[in-house]
Amino acid sequence: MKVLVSWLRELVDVPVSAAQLARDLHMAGFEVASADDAVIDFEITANRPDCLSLTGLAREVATRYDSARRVPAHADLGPVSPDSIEALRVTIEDAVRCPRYCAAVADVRIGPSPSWLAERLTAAGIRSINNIVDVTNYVLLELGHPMHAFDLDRLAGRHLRVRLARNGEALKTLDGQQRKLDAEMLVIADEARAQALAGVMGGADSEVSSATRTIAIESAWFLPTSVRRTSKTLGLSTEASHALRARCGFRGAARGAGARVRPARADRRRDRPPRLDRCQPRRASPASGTAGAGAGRPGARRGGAGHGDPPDPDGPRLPHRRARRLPLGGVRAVVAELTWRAMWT
Amino acid sequence: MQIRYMESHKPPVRIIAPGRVYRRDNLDLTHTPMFQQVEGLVVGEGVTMGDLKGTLIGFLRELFTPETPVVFRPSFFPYTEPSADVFIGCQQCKGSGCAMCKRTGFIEILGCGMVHPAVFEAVRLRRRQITGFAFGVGIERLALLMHGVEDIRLFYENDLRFLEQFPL
Repeated sequence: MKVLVSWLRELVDVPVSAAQLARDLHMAGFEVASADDAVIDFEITANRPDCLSLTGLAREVATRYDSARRVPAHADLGPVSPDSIEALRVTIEDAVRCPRYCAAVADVRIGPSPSWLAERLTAAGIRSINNIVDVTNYVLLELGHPMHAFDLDRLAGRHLRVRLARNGEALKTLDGQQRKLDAEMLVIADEARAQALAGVMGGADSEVSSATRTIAIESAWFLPTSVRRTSKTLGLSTEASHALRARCGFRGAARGAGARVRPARADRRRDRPPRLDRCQPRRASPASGTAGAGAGRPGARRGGAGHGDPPDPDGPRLPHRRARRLPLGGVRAVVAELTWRAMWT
Repeated sequence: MQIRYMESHKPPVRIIAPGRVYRRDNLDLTHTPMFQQVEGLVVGEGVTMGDLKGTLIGFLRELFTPETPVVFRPSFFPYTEPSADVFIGCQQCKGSGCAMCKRTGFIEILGCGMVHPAVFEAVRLRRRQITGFAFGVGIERLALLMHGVEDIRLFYENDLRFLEQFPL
């Protein structure tokens, strides 16, 4: 994860130099592969996909230095949205594999990105392609949530259907490969056929091109096990499928859609995010009750994480300001559900 | 090793298990795709991260010098939670920075952590009081540091001039 330090500084107060930041985060568990004054390349371990974004790392920086964090600017979706707008209809036919699908429609003129945007992508090791593709990559870097842009005029019936593929159904993906799908792969289809592999890769037919005038931007939440299965079966691992390993946030999907586009959008979702039964700390014990220690991995409730002493009230900083202190069995423990860290197994 | 032993033995468990391990790694001064590793596992009631740290710091200071700096850094391994990488002050440059420690003054020497609850589930150790720690340390890496060998590849080249310096 290549991080442009000046960009990170926009999202969080960093009270030290880039070199010191690299050293401090290195010792906090984010191994530094290389660093200079402008860019630090972190090796993010498999348990921290939430740190595969600037926002995620900003959270760590804010915790490390107890400094202020700023959420990137985004448009607010509001509480409830229609499932269809004039320009686009969205239907979710598999609410388990896709509990939330947000789409926004925008008239665009395809061209090169402004230089500040292209430079930020280049610093992160991503090639600048055109303004629309670059925006989706920019939001991925910023929020850790993958997005996809369809050429709206290429979608039959201006209708996006989130459904399972049919056995043997074919899809030409963005990399030019003809893929043969099976009935357990989730796709985004129009009224005629599959147009994208959900959470993995878009399709070539609805790819944004220089002729594109209107786009539908997708920001959705797909079941990580489903994304992983599709990605594995096809031997196709992408930035998106990588990022979606984590439950990168139900809210993240909506925030992504609102991030850089105008407010015509559809937002289809169930009333509540999927439950996190297996991920919530079931009980806090003196040994494991410090700073959300139980919240990291499912089943990590068994003690032994501490030194055998009761938690130190002035101990580790809370990773999240909303963390609560609860009296549990005479021991004051801190319980925090870090939604962006919940892993699905 | 650890799983096999726990399947057939009840806690308390304390084992040390040496063996060859293989992984995809590029050959360089401190890495080879095949090396010897010693695994350690301690399981019992009330075993904590404090026991882990004490054991490893004690071991490393006994092996090197009583003043050797030992640092734990949070890390990730699938079978432990929490996990840590353990570093000691570079024996070659005494912390001032050289090629061996990539100018950090520290060299990674082992990985460790508290046994993941899912591992206990897998060997049907359901009692909540049972906890444990585990670590794995590369023998070549240790030998490299103890004897000031500059290149880990020397261990596998079977050059007699090198091997005869280590009489059995």
